[in-house]
Amino acid sequence: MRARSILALLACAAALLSGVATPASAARTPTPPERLASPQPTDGSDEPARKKGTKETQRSTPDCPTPDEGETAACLQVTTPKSPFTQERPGAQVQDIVAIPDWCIENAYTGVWALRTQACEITGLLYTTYVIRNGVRTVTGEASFNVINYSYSSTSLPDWGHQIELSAYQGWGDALRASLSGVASGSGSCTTASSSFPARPISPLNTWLQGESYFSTTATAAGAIGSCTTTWSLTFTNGTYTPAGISYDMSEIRCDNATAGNAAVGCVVPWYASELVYSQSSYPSLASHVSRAQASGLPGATFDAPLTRTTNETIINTNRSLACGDAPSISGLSCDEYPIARSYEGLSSGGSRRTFDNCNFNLPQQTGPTGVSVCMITATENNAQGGLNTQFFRRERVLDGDPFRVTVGA
Amino acid sequence: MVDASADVRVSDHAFGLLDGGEIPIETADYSNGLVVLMSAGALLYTGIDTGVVHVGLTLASQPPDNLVPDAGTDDNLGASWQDIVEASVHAPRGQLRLDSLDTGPVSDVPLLSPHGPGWYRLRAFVRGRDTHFDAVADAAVEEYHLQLWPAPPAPAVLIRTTDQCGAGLRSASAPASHPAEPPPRQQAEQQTRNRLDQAIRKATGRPPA
Repeated sequence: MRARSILALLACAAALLSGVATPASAARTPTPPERLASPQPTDGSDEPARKKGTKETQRSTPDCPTPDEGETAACLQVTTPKSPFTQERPGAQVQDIVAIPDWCIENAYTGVWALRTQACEITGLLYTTYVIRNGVRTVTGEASFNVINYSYSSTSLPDWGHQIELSAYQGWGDALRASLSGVASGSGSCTTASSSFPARPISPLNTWLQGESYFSTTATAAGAIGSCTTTWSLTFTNGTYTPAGISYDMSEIRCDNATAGNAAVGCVVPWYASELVYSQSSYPSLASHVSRAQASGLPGATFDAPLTRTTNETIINTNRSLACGDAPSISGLSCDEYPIARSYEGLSSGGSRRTFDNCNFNLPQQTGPTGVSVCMITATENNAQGGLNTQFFRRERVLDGDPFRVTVGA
Repeated sequence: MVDASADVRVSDHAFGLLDGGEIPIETADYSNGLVVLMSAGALLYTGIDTGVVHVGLTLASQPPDNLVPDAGTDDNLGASWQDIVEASVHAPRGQLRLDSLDTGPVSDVPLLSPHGPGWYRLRAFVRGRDTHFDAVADAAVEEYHLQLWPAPPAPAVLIRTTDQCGAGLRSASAPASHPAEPPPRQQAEQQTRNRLDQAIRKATGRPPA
């Protein structure tokens, strides 16, 4: 996890980037217009999660051509800058481009991060120009870039965006004479709606070069689910130096017309576990049960141990029967089980039952991550929970196998 | 007059008469013990927690005179129905459908709001809610009949209240509370999503939401 001091540094960086006077930033010295960040970072959102298997950006092996004596060439290498992302991002160069979220900046160089409708990764890039003199490679220039690779979708649209932003934050020599252009393409269940990244010089330093592209899913038939890898192919051109190219992929967006009860086609990041919140004040007996069940070690509250949606009716029926088949009959109450029956973590996956005080079950109060908890709770709250769950699954497009979190709120 | 029927998958003690698939559960009113009224649409509170119930439907343009009689009796409400409730259901989008919370709108059943957006009167009949209360029932032993016709909103009328399931729900029902505001973080997330949705619409030429 990040250290507090780094967090503070990053908060400063994010604050610097913020060009709009929000209530939280109103007390700061106004940012001079030429220091305006573009795009502006997003205030407030769900908690981002890192994609499993992604990690600190690793330095790649550069693929550098070896030209003949006296010839020039250029090559690219993915890098990890030593310091946190603190680069200022002055001046809007591209209008109408979508703001990079602040959680993406805060998690620079540490893999792919996402919310349910956004995915983002920041990496470093080193561009090197050189010439062969007397059989020896002599470097004639270098430029170090931050690269922001960002996709965003809507839960109610068949289209999504993939944008890329680069800026050189230090460099010297011939490398700074380069121009950059790009083209986006898609592979999988998609078509390219538009792609725009006109060629522009990389100088002066801290100029942000931005590409914007949009894709449409082909998974629009009833029941269809489709994924697509979208790729920005970037090319550095620089006088007599050989063109140098690099590609940035995004494969995090899934589109579907398979969300029961949601007639729209929409697109999400399927591995991001959205949060289903039960309000303590609105549903006290439900919230009490879920809180105690999670405190006893059952999963669902965190990204590390989310629940997993099932739509398999046999599994749901089995989960429910094993949990509540012998529930007592008490007027005004009904049997609640946690993890919910509509998850793979129910008793059909094994484990035994536990309960708590005032739950009207004669069972042990055991702890640990497997099994389910049962409790007789207020019947209206138990029914409302079903409504909340359904509303959540439809809104977040939580399909069979998708992770989700359950938390208790105010 | 249109009649239809279907087996409907139930979860968490409910199936829905949902307007455009929306479930504004924060506004739910459980006080009549059968028709869970919401700001849009309604849920029917079932005896079983999970499984299948049978639902018959009558769509009318006027209040049906002849209700759902038992064969060979003069009782025009049908003596075998255990609970009967009449209530007003709001369909602001005019997209009222019989809807399983698990599997979505029930196919082969017509739109329940053929007269467009507005208020509909629902007369709901049920029997068998106590047979497998709170349990799982794969076969439909619980039966509903729903009559709908367009009518201005009016208070709910409890025509018959005899089953334990309804009595329990009425005893558990708190007065309808004002829906809580979503937490600030959730509101911020929704604003972000709206902004992204608008950006995509603008770029791809789709009409605004």
